[in-house]
Amino acid sequence: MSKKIKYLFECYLTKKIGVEIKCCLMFFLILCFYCIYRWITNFNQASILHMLEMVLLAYLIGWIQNLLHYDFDEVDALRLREWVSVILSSLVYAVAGHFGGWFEGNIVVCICFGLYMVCAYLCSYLIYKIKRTIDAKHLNEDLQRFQNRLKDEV
Amino acid sequence: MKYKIEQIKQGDDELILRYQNLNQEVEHIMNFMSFSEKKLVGTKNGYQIVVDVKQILYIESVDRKTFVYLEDDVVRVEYTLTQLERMLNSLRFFRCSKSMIMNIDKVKVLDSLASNRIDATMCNGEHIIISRTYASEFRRRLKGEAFDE
Repeated sequence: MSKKIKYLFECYLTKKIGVEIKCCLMFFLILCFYCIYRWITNFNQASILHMLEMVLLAYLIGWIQNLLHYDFDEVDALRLREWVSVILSSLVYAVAGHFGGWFEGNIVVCICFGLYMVCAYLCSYLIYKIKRTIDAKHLNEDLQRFQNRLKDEV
Repeated sequence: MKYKIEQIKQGDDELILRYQNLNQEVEHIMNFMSFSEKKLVGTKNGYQIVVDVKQILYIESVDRKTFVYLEDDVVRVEYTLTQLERMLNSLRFFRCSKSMIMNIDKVKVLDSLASNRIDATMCNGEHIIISRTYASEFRRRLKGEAFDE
């Protein structure tokens, strides 16, 4: 395998893994809302078809965000571009929930679901930001130790 | 260029370079001579400048020309980045991108960026972005793993 093909394959794999992790996270959050709704409305069963729709939609939106560089949850600050991505994606989820019959066509629940998705996106952004802050702290500790080692060697 | 090697019975070891014109060959030899004391010879505005390796912030290659960046000065050297990487085979220097070698000892603060990149703020306030490709190696170097291997 030539170096270029290997490099491209690695790039693709990195993207794919990133999208799939996000897809799992979004599916988990959607499923959480869906199950709580079913539980409150005294439905004891969840539709497999609904779950399939949720996974496929999360996967599709994940890829679109990735290909259009709208991976807002990994950005350093939320700007207009990122807000547009958050609102549009949440809107798509709410509309899919309505037409997919995830909430029996209840518009109020669909709107709540859309708002919930906005919060979910913002939370994932905050989680990534906190993760990077902790990582930076560890990096600076390592740097300090490294520079002290250099001084000792001199 | 002629050269003469002579073994002496007493006195200090000595290297004498006699030249009429300062050409590339002479400059290379001067660099070799000064490097044993961890110094590089570069040029700035036509003048020869001796640079202490420890004072280097980073070295960058732009349009096949190599520049050494100090805290408040920039000096051009005749080596390629690969040659310098080999010459500066030291714990403190790290190849942070295809076109740059940085001095880790001159990094003031590190910041973790998205997509596993690292932003290094140098002691003069300049920022160097270490891409994902080099970031893992950099982390290992900081932990002292890469160099031990």
